[in-house]
Amino acid sequence: MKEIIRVQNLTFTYDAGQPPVLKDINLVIRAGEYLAVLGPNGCGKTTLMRHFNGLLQPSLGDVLVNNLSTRMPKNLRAIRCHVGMVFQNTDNQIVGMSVEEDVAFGPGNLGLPPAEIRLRVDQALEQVGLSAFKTRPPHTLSGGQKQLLALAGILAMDPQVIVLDDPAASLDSVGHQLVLRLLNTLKNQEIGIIHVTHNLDDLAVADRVLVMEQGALTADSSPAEILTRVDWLKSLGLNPPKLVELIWQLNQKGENIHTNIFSVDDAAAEIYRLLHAARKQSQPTSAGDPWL
Amino acid sequence: MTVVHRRDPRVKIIATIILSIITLQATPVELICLSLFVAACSLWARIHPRVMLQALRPAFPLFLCLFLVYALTTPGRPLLPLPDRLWRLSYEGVYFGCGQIWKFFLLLITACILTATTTQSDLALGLKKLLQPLQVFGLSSDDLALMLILALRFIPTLREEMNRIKEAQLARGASFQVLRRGGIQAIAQFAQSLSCSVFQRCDDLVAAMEARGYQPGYRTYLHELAFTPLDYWILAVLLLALIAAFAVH
Repeated sequence: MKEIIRVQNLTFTYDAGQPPVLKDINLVIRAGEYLAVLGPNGCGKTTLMRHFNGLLQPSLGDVLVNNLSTRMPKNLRAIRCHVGMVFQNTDNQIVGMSVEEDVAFGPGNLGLPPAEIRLRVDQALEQVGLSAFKTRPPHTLSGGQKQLLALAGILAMDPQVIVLDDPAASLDSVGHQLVLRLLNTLKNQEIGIIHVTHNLDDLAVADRVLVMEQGALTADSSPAEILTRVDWLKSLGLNPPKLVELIWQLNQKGENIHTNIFSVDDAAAEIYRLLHAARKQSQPTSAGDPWL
Repeated sequence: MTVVHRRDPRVKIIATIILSIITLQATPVELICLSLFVAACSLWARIHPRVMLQALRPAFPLFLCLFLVYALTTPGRPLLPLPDRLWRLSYEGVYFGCGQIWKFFLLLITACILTATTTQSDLALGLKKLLQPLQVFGLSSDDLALMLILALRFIPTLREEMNRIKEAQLARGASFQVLRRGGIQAIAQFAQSLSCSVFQRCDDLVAAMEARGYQPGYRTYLHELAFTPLDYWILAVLLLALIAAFAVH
């Protein structure tokens, strides 16, 4: 897979003399990858995400997007075309007075002709399912729809990677599901996703999980491996999925269940296997009981 | 969509400016003609008079003040037998005051027709095109148009924010009645919270705009404006009217 973002020895400090917010981070993100980023509040996730889009420049080290350095101002427009960003508070990132005008803002910044903008706006709105709302003022949309609108605004710029900074923070479960479903569709279209989240249920669709602690990258692994470290996740203030915690607690009580089980079906099969084995063990005693 | 709605926003903005200039120097007869023309435009645009009156209602106290100033301060024949030491209500003052209010009323109605028949984004785009010559002085019309769009776009959001802060402070026992104890302090705290929120929103907005590739200067738009033959005719007639008005006065 083609390499899109390369982070080399990234260290970042907001004010000189202050301790760094990001410490010596090295990372490679490839085309079409779905990356989940975890970590407690204030660990530097948002700061790292802002480097991918060139909104922040490294104090030390480099961030390269398609081999273009974010340090060079002349590269920024191309970088922002390759890496789109959806922020936590969608209300503050809507620019247009109607849904379609907001989606047209990005392509307009790229200087595309109106016919091309129209094509991209219609495609992006259809992709997120907001075509019926295109003439509506954005403030009349629900939280989930605003999040989808923000995504449509990025999709219209035809990015290779989309960074989402905790999109579920201000959403109800319906809105959250809408966004997750769309992200899954985008993943199938080979668009890279970097998804900052506190919800470990979201890891099911991820290819890789990054974990950050106090400005450093402390884990870069598969979701299965990360989810088995329940104690560590809890120490970071992250609640593992209910299913994972159930299996972990059963194992704590002496059972021997595979820890890489993340679906209800697999868990049901494993628990059935255990029960079946336990019943088999108790059968000889029952057979020898004259009362039965 | 009526014929008035379909006109290019640049034509409507220019028409509003020209009609305002003509109105301000019109004689009573010309005012009657202009009023009939504006009324015809309003009917043509199918704007209900009630909608128009609702839009004008906030200006009524201003109209009243303006009338009183003209009526009481213009020298002339006294209208009522009042002692000289008081302000005198004169025939000339009432006549002049009515004329001025009529003119301001017409100006506002013309502006109402413009805003009721043009979307905010078309209005901003029209202004952007009309202000393009300012680029000679280093002013970017694209940036001015974007500023206008953002100002209009954030009105409902800030209104919601204002209500949210107000309710949060009321829930904690604040009182916004100036005459009550602590009223002014509560209003000051409210203004402080709102200002912080506005600055935070501005920071977020700037980051979001930059993230979407915004750089000051030239950009393109979803809708492009194009003059039709009728637009050219309207512009020609308006220019002739303006020249005629200057020639007569």
